[in-house]
Amino acid sequence: MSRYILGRVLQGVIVLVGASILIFVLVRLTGNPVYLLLPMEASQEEVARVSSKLGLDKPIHEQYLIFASNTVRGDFGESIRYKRPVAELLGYRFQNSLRLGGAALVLAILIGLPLGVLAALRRGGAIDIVARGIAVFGQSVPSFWLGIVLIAVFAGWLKVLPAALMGGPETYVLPVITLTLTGFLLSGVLRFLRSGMLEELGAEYIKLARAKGQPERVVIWKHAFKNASTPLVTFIGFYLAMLIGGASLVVETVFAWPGVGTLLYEAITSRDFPVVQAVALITVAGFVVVNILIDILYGYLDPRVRYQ
Amino acid sequence: MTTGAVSSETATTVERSSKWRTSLSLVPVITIGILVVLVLIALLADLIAPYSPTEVALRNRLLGPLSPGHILGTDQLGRDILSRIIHGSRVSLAVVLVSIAVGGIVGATLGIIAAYFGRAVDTFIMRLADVMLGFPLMILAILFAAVFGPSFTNVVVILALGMWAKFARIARGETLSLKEKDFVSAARIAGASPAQIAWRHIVPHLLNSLLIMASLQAAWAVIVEAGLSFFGVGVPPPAPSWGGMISSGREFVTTAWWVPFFPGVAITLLVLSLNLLGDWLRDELDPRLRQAQ
Repeated sequence: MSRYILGRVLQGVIVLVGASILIFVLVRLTGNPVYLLLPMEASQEEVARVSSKLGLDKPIHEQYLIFASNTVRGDFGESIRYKRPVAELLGYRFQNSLRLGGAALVLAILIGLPLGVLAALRRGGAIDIVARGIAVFGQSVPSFWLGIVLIAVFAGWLKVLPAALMGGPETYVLPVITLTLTGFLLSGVLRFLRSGMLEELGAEYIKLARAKGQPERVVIWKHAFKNASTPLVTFIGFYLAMLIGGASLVVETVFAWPGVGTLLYEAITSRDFPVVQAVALITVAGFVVVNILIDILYGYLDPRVRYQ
Repeated sequence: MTTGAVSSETATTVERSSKWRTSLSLVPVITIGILVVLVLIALLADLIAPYSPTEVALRNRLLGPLSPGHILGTDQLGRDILSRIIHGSRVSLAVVLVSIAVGGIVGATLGIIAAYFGRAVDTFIMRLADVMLGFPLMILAILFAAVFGPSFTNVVVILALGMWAKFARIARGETLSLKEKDFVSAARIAGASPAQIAWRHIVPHLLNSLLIMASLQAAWAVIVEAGLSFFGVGVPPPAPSWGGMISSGREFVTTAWWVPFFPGVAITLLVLSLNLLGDWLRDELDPRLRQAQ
């Protein structure tokens, strides 16, 4: 078992290093950020001077080594654009993204959980059709379009909600609704729960529990649901990891929400290398960690997995 | 030798394994119908669009829907929205078809390779797939566009990158189980090379699952492509694209709502059809598929 874990961790490290090199190179291909910092008429010496100050004139492998050694020590450098430590910037923006994404996740679970379970219990019934309808629609509607339409209706026409920017609770309403309904959030929760529950409810041990005389409520929640919710937990784990990487970019852009998504977009367009590198690296790291944890969990639960 | 009590489980199993139930079911008829119509519209765009999608006519700025001659209205440059939507379908369909072909073929091939050669190769490919499945594509797309400039090829590459992992996973899963079957061993004993076995024996069995995945991934691809266009990193002008129409029409959403509204309806319609088709195919052809994911 420990060999299995070690193997996984080692693979994770390799993936991380490979990804970091790839990101590093790719980001530097976008050009020299100094040109965007200085006015157009700046002389070649000015450019050279600032480049040197930022450490951009060194050969690329040297830059990478500096970057790697700093990162390992937790120093993500300073944002070229904002002149603040990347970690601080990232922390602030991620908090905002988390507020948005977290609220959306909570809403999705609040709606999706009971709906998904009920849909599975009364398969083919009205609730099932409604749940599947919501899931399919959610996946089909482009998030930016829904956001724009909601803004038009509630902020433009009815004038009951603010159109954009982060602030008090009323500013959360529209973006959270958009984020929850579209993409794979509510759809994912509904589908996972529904198919998970359907699978569990058909299993032998459920029949046994019923034969034993367990009250139906216990059968459903304590037995079927607990087992059906494991894929859901995995899904949530991945969702949060994706939030770090700026997955909520589209909704953030539509609602001018200062989150990781918008930060990344600005960073890429302004060639803010340290920011882009840090976010990309953290995202990959987040993924690798979630994957390893899941693998370990499954390896523990299902011994067959370890011998692959 | 079956026991006397035929449990309901057996009945369900029998029912599920009959692959082609009545073909009068409504869902596939409607969705395939919509898709065929959309493809025809895309192919015949020049013939059916009432106006040129790029011709500017400032006299007719921002006419509302049901205006004479412009059923869906005009945009801020006086261009007919219906015509732009019709032409926009070309971009969406072309991009999606090409990227599914590329992503599907590459993904399936890698999946088969991973399953066949196992061990290190398998692990390597699957780790790669894992990372790919979670990576926020939008960011990668913007990065690509910043480096290489927006282009049709870029969009296809990005979409294919986002898609291959799911195809690979399906292909690998199925190949793993097929590998052990007798007919594969027989072929191997008869001297067939791995490539021959893969092509003639394994691939035909994969087609069902790959088709289902293709339909669902197509749905995903259309939305992502629209998102890319929305950010300006999709297929560059002059070709109108639905996402781009929403993006440029955004500022008029309170004054001329139809400008960003109708392109979104088009996107939703296309994606909905693809999703419903994919779900239906999945239910009909292979209920097992749910676990494979």
